[in-house]
Amino acid sequence: MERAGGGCYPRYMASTSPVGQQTVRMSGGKPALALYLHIPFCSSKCGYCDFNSYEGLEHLVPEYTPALVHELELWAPAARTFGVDTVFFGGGTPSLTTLDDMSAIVAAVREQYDIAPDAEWTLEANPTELTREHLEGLRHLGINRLSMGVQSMRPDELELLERAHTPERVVQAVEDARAAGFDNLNLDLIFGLIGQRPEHWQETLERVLQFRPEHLSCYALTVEPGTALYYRVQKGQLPDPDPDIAAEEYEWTRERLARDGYQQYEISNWAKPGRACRHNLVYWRAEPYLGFGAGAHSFFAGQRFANVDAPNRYEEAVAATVEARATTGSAAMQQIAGGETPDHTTQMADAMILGLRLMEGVGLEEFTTRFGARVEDAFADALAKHTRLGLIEVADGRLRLTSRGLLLSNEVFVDLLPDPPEE
Amino acid sequence: MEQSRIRNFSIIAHIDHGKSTLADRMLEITGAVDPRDMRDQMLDSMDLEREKGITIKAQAVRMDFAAADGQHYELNLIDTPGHVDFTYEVSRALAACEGAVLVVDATQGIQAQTLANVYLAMNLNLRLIPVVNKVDLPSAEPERVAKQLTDIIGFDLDEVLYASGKSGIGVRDVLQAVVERVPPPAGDRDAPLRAMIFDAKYDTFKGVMAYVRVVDGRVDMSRRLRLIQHGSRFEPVEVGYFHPALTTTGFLDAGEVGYIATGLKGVQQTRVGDTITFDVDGATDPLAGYQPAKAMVFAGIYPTDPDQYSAFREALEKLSLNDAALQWEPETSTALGFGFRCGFLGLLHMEIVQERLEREFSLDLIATAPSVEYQVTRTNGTEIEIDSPAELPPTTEIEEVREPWVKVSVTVPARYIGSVMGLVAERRGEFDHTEYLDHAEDEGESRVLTTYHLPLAEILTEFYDQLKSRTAGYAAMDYQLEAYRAARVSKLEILVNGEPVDALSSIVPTENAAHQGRKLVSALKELIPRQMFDVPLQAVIGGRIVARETVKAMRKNVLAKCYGGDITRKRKLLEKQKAGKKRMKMLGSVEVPQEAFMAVLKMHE
Repeated sequence: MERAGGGCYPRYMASTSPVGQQTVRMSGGKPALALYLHIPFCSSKCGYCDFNSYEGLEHLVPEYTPALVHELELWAPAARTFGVDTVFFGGGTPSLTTLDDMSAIVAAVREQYDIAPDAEWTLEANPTELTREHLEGLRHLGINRLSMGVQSMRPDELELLERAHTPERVVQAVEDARAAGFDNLNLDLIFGLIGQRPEHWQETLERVLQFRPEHLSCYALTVEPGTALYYRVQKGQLPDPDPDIAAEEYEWTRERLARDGYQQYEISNWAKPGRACRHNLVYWRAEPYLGFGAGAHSFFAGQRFANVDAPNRYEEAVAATVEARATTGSAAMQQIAGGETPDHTTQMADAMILGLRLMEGVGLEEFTTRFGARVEDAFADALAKHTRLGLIEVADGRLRLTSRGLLLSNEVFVDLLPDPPEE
Repeated sequence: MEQSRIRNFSIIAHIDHGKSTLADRMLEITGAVDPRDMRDQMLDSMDLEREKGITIKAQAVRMDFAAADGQHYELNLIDTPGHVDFTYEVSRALAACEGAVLVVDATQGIQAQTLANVYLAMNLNLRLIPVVNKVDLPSAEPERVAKQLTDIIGFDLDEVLYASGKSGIGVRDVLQAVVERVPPPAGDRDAPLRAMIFDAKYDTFKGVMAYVRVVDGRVDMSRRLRLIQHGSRFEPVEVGYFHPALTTTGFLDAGEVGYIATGLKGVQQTRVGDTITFDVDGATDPLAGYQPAKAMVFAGIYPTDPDQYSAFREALEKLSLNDAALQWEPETSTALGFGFRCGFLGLLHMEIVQERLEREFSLDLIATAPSVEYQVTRTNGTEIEIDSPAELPPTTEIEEVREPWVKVSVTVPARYIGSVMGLVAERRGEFDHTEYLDHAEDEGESRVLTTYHLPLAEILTEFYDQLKSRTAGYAAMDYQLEAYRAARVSKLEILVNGEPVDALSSIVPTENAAHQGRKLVSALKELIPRQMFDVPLQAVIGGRIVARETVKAMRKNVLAKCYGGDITRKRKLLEKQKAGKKRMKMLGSVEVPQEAFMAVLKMHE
């Protein structure tokens, strides 16, 4: 078996403090760490989805939970100096994992890591197969935040997206979640759908607001290369989504949600006060996280790396790592991909690109303290250009995207990237 | 070989009339090419020629032919291009010959272009051998075509030969006729050397290779040589002939055709048409050279990558060595950067040059709209010639503009006369006269030669394609410059975000200007990506806006969900967008992709 990306684990062992982190968030008196667990299985793959998820791989499910548990064990020594305050089950469809398996995984997390008592435990759920009993079981295991993929409340749009559920199913699932005791609920929605008129989107959002979710994620549809939807558009069976309608819907959304007391904290995320997703913020603030499972990404000890995508190869990689540990004592996770240590310039660009996605923006003083360079110097040209274009602004010592800049953020980000090396 | 047993000849033919195939058979019969090495279009060495099925460059080959009298003869065939744009190449080749085989397709008959080359050969006192080719095709009408040859050109019927290059029928007879009818060269072998350069090519190791016809004397490796007109001197590096591969002999005698490797590295030092002689005790009078070809079509050509500018200049220098018709001088465009204003014989020539530059020199080029050369009389009485819109003075300073008109000959079956007439009328043309080349039973099948007068600018834009499509492909045309006539033209400018884009402006007939402006602006609207602000696009004629469109400001360009913290992938997506932006040309603050220019410039063709 190959060992792509080299054995990273021993190097992390040697590194006991987070390198290059901004302000060190603490959990239980230690630097905080986020855990991400990836469940790659779905009962059916949606046409727009380009995530690392698979349908028809049920035969790999029985070995997946033990593999995850093993991988949690493998990394535990490296994470000993950290306190964990957010655990996120993403997918795929984590809500398909049986309660027995979930119980084993949650137990391993609690056993191996220093979990804060008030930690955020999020699980992504698909309303299609969600039962009251399952929800109660999850709540019982300590899952305290549910993120449900609703996407739309219109049957024709759900069909376009190849979602298996109906709007009625969403109503039932939300009701069941509340009854099971979930008081921190996120609903994922997609706007800017192909053929969508603003009033269609308004209808979805209005219906969803009746559930009084604590958190809402609203993403503009992106037709990702390689997806079924992409091929339908390429073949001319469907038109491209209309970016102007998406823009109009987005602007309406911002006003509408503000009216109901939601605070926008990121380009696509809104929450009631105090309900912003802690896990999301870790990503945007470039804080450390460890990812477990097929294709899961980590940012740890200043490095970005990921597990192999294919679930079967992931299971093999864990097995091989466990075997190697038994025989040679080496515990480097095998088949790690894309081990990258961002250099100083890339770190600065990452901090800007991630930070600007947040409404709080980038603190100019914090940036200087962290990188030893001023934003105004490191990105002088981009700042001048996009300030002139009205996409960014500085206020109260922080650099932020303007209202208009939110939807045009790529235009800004592209200019923040370092120039590629000359060929 | 003594001159009495040397024959130098060309083949004149219209495109597709089978010249290259006939030449292939000649090479086979004379054993110049081993049958195992034989491939189609043997003399067309450029990939481009094989792909397009045409001859662009003159090529030469020496053949050894055992004639009916039992003697061996040295036949030098100089192949010539058939397209109207390459008449200049033809005249160079013909000047090196004493005779020419006139090939006419038995299914097509005489074409306008063939006639033009026949007259060229007649002016040079070449002996012509008429050959009706492709006689074995089911649709062949050899008698009818033979009658055209006697009626129009004045051959005797018993002079006409019948052949098929494809099957080889009659090809030996054609070679025999070359021996019998074409006069042997009559140079003075005792006189000092005089060799005419009819083509040249650059070789990295041997320097400039001069393709020559030795008229007087002998060239060998023993003496230093000189170009009479240019004055450059050199020691020959190699002397030989074409078989068709270069074959070294060390000498060439009067009457023979071959090459002299000059070792000269400066490509500008060796001009086609110059005469080579001995440096010491050489001839004093040059041979009658060629009329330098007059460029009729002009366009700016730019490297898409500015870093290729100097490579582009070198490529032009090397290419003009064996394409003396190509003219060029530096030009700068705010939109396209540094490039060259180039003059061509015609549109095909322009296309061929661009393709050769791109293929042979690995360049990536972009050409502006082709223009003709206008004569302008200013109100202050001064005269200027301009070939680019940038040079056109303001309307108030113009007394008169004159544009080149050409005489266009079209050969076509009589039933298409009306269609051709219609096309000519749409293009500001005038009818001159019609001449019947023959009389078929069905009057509509008779072939006619019709003559028109048209502004050259009009035949630059899709005229030939239109002519072909309106006559089911039957029409063939030829044109020659005739006179300058007063013209009503305007400078059409395209403004992007209020700034004129020089690469997109053009000189157009005033009556078409507004239409053309609207067409360009609406095409640009689809091609320019949305920017961070509204971008107005305007077509302006003499300060008056004739068309306006707006590229609305972009409103959305955002990355969706950050999947499982995969920041590297997000960055990669952004890097891809950034790379896309890098390939854009900046027009003021507007980013325009290279493809947009290409597409709009193509609309002119």
